[in-house]
Amino acid sequence: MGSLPVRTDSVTTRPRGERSPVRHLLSALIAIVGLVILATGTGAAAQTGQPARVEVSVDATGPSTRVVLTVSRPVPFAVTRSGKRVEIVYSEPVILEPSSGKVDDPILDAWSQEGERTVSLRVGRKFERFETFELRNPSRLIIDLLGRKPSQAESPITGRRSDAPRTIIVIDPGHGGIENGAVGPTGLKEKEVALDLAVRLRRALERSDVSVVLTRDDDRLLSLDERTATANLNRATLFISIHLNSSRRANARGAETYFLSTDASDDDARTVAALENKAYNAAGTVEARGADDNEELELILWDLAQNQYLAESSRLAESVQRELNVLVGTRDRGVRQAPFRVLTGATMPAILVEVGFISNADEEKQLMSSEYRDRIVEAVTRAVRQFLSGRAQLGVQATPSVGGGASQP
Amino acid sequence: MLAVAGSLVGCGSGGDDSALQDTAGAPQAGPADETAVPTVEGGEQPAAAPLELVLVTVYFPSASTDGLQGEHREIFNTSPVERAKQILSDVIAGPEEAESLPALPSGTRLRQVFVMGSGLAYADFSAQLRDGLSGGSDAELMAVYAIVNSLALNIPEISRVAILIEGQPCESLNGHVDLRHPLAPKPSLTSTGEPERII
Repeated sequence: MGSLPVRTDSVTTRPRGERSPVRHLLSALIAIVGLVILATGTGAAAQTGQPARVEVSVDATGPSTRVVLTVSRPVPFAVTRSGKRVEIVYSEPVILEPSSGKVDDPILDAWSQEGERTVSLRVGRKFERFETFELRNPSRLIIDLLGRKPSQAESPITGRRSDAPRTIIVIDPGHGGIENGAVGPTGLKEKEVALDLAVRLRRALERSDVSVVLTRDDDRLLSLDERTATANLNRATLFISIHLNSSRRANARGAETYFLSTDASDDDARTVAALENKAYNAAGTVEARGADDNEELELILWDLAQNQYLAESSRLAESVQRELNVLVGTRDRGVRQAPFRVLTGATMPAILVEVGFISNADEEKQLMSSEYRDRIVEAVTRAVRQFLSGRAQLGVQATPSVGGGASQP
Repeated sequence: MLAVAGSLVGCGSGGDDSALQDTAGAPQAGPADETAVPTVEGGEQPAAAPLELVLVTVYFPSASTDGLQGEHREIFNTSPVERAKQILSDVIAGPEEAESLPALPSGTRLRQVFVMGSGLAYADFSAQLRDGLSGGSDAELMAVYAIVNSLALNIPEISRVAILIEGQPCESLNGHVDLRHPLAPKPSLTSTGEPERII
């Protein structure tokens, strides 16, 4: 984390005009937290001055071909097109891993490293254009190569909607790795039950015409931002985080479904602080716009991402809670709101389901049984179907158009 | 400024807080801590002696229903920061009635409290608040809002609360509740026997 103290200084010592010390502190705090997030995964490279590593992954299964370049630490870059190549030029030397590769795809032929700073994508015959967007934590550049794949060439003629937006549901089994989550009286672990439920839920949902992506499919620790980013990266239609609860209350039992609570005044304060920053920079101090400002703004945008989906998140939560109430059959519980971190940055309806209290001996016992798990999965699946069909009737597109690309003809 | 200049990883590495006195003890009317943050504390001064007592409601998880339950306590009517310390000491000390449960892991200590003129309070706890918490969002929500509600619903000068661990900003105590930003109180979490309902 060698670069952090330097950046911290630049945040806290920059002249801020008439801003109150509180604002100053708050925004410094926000910026610092942002840097902490950003720093996750930067590893030792930044410290030792070694070149950043760039990992390549290619997904050619969709209608567009997606290239994801995951950088070991943020490095400025530019993307250009020249003839049959799309080139990503970094501002400093990088190491591409793997350094080259071939793809069996009419849109992308191959990729390779050219010189110290350039990643070159050799595009295929069917390539038409590209779109890019960035994600953080870890720092990623996503390049969508758009074109006309053979399977799609038929659809304009027949008028079939083979390119209709797919419904993608990202399911997030809570905790994992060193993080056990809640542990029951006889030792049943939240991380294990959540993963098993997620796998079962994937199976059940895929029987409908739904694609399911899990944030983790093994016993692995993920940061909260990574979980949300998986949903955003996949342009998911819905994000469902699966958890099991625990309480000191001996009689605590039953399911609880949450969507994000946002304190409006908080958001207002953050937005105002961000706008002030922008205005202040624009107004005059001629300073190289460091990465700080962008990061600060992006952090704020991330924090506001879920706000526009709250109404839908609430409906999804209600649907799930209703079904789980029927399953548990104890009492009429309503949905709840809490400032859960994993829901914050989601750019789609997002909920966190506490399917039961693992701390309750009776529920722990139930949760051990495969049959009860299936019943939970059935309930959630039914709720998701209800929500999706209600949404379809309202004419909401299944796939949000964030970033574009996925639903191009 | 504040204690954010050290390690920036997660919510503090815990352990050594020998530099700070244990502030979780009896209420101190003296101005000792005011010097810690002269720039943000403003003109805040402890109230003049003799100190009167005021009644406050300290929140703990209910033993029987969802949410928090209030218990009355008397504290000295001193400065906001001193009142905050007294209230958090009461939260740490735990409930007196059988109807309530402890909100915070045993062994949790209060390190510092700052109250800004804007209504933002920073409550800095030892790592035990994070490390001693059992998994599960309920336990986490109860701990966080026992702190936030007890402060913000009793002290008019406090409207939002930021929780720090070992002097550091903390993303989350246990992977659920977002602590990167100050939290406003949730009066709806106060137990009425009815669950919170959203329309």
